[in-house]
Amino acid sequence: MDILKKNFFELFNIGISVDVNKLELDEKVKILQGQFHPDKYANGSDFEKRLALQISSHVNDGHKVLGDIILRIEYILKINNFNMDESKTINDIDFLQEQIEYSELAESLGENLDKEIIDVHLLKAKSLLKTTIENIKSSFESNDYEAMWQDLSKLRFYIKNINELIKMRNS
Amino acid sequence: MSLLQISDPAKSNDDLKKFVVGIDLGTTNSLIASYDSQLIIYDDNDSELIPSVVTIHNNGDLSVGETAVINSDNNKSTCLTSIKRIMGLSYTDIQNLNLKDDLPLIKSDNDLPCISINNKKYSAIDISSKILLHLRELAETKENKSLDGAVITVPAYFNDIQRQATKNAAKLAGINVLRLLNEPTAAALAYGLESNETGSFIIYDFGGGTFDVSVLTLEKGIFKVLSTDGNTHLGGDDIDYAIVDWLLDNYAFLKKYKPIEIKKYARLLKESLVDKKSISIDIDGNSISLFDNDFLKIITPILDKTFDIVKNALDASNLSKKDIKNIILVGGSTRIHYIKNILEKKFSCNVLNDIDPDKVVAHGAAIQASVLSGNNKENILLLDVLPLSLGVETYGGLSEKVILRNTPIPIKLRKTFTTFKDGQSKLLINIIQGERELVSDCNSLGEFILKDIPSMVAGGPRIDVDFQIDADGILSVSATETTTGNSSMIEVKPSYGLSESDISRMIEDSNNSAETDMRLRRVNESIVEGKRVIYALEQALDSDGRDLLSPDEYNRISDELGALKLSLNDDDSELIEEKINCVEKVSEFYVERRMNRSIKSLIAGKGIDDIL
Repeated sequence: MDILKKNFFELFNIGISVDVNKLELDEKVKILQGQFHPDKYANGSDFEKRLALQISSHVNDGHKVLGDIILRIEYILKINNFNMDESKTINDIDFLQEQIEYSELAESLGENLDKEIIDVHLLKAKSLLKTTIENIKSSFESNDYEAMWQDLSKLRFYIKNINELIKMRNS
Repeated sequence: MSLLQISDPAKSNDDLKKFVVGIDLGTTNSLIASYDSQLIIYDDNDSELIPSVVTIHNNGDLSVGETAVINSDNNKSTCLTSIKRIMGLSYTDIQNLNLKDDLPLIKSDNDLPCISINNKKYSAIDISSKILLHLRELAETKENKSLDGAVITVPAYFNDIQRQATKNAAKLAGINVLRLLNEPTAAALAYGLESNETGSFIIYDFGGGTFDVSVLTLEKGIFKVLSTDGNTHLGGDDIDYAIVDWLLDNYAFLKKYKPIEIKKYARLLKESLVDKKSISIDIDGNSISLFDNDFLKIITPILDKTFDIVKNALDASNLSKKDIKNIILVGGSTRIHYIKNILEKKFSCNVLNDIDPDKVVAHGAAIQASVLSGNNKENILLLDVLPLSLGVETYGGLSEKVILRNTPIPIKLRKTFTTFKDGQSKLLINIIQGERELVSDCNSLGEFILKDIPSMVAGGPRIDVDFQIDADGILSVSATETTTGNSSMIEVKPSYGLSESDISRMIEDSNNSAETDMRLRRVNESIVEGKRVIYALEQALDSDGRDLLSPDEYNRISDELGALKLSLNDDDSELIEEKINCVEKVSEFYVERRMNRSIKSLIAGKGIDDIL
């Protein structure tokens, strides 16, 4: 069936992009579920019910993937047939250094929670995250998927850190 | 066929309207209701609350509902109550729960609990199906129509097995389940809360024997169950017993009465006191009185237990009191006005109790049934989420989550498995549901054996396993070996409960007792169904048949349609059903084209109505 073969960007009729307008995405999901949710085919034939279940599941899956920045970037790489080889090592020395520093920081904060230090690092992580997203966007524009893939590891790392720091701050 | 529901048979033709109901299949009482411009509740001997009780007499006869309560005699029969508590549980689960129920349970195959009476075995599904059948008959007799479908409510915390068990009980009772609906969601629907854009709600459900609380949040039309908590042995009965104790302390003459009689008086006092300062009743010349301040003292310890549970549920939801927009009261025990007052004070929000708390769940289910059947024109779409995470067992008895709880459903997820030994031909996948890390702390939904795996080196085969969750939250699994494309390789071993073949056999058994009027009813049903299909298809063909179909395709569909019309003249339900199938089969590609076309127009910002 045509609908199920569409990639998620085509499904929601939005251009392939690192940024997605969440409100627009939510609205489109609502319109599509309003038409294709299995409840709309409660009296339908078995064939209609089966199609509705497949389309509705596809829409929910698309919502999940496009609604999350990490999943969305992975998906862009996937539809561009980029081979995401998890076993490849990252040879960015500065990034490795950053990771070591962060794990030391997390350890010391674990022993002694200092809200001011947390705030400083939170601000830093947020700004690094923003820069990384900008880098990924410009790599995408020049079709440099390898660079996107490298930066995706950083993106995951900063998002994880931000969540951890916020959790520590609220505890 | 719905054919995108462009044309709605019910709109123009009253005989084609479906007869659908909402069923609140409760632990203590059940209700069956329909909603067609107004709510109709079908009663049993003038009682709208139908006891969820089945009495099995020594001669093998059954009574259900009111008559089961009246006709239960310990010497001549066994009275089965609160069967819902053991729905979908294994024998081991029940023993761990330490239910003080006096159900004569024995352990059967596959750890399946069975009730054994006079050497006959009954499962929880059997007993529930008797209750559902009784409800169905009450509604059908009253309307003199056969039932087309039902929405059945289940507790929000019901897992896949419990939901499947409820659906199977309905199947056995000959009921077509349109949808399983979470009880708190049904209550919210009865109050029309789905028309709000966002908000968080507490559903406080205090029934005869059980207490349940759910924290729901509504986000852009999707109800998510953030947390549930409860006590399966806390209800109005406990209040009655507390009053009994107080009465015995204060009125010594009562000691000569039977406990069951004193409980009756306690209940009478409780129910009469609802909006009064005090109440007095006369018992064989002795007067007893209960003042509201004494009543409050009696019930405070019980109410405090419920408020503690509400607090736990709220903590688990990660919300705070100020986030709560409304509290909905469900269950007969919430008639005690102190509950509303205390909750209002505690949460400073609007506590809703305008709808009869005994009927609010059935009310919501009836509305949903009428929406699903197309009888109700309101464009309500209830989007549900998966109540408990779904995972697979990995090495070391750990659960690896495949689909997280609160993921909007339906959803399909794929996971790829491989072998760990050279030439391995089978793989066992244990599917579990629950939030905990250890498999032993979760529920096993069943073991799936992937067989006929082509002989390859370890790690060679790639087996894609698809986990499909439908709109009721029920799982189905399929698997394909991608290097060979072999997809018929799955074998399901339900850990307990009933397999699909058990259910078909049971349905066949119950159908053997069919009579002539059953046959006649089936003919009528198939004629109505045939008319519906003709109506929907003709409307569709009129609107876009010439655009989407070649003349040849159009004629093929018209020919089958003509054959179906002809078949309606004969009293042969099998022929009619066959012709309906032919029409549906020949128009499958047409349905598909219409769906594809509608998605284009929807997404381009135009509604389906604009292009037709």
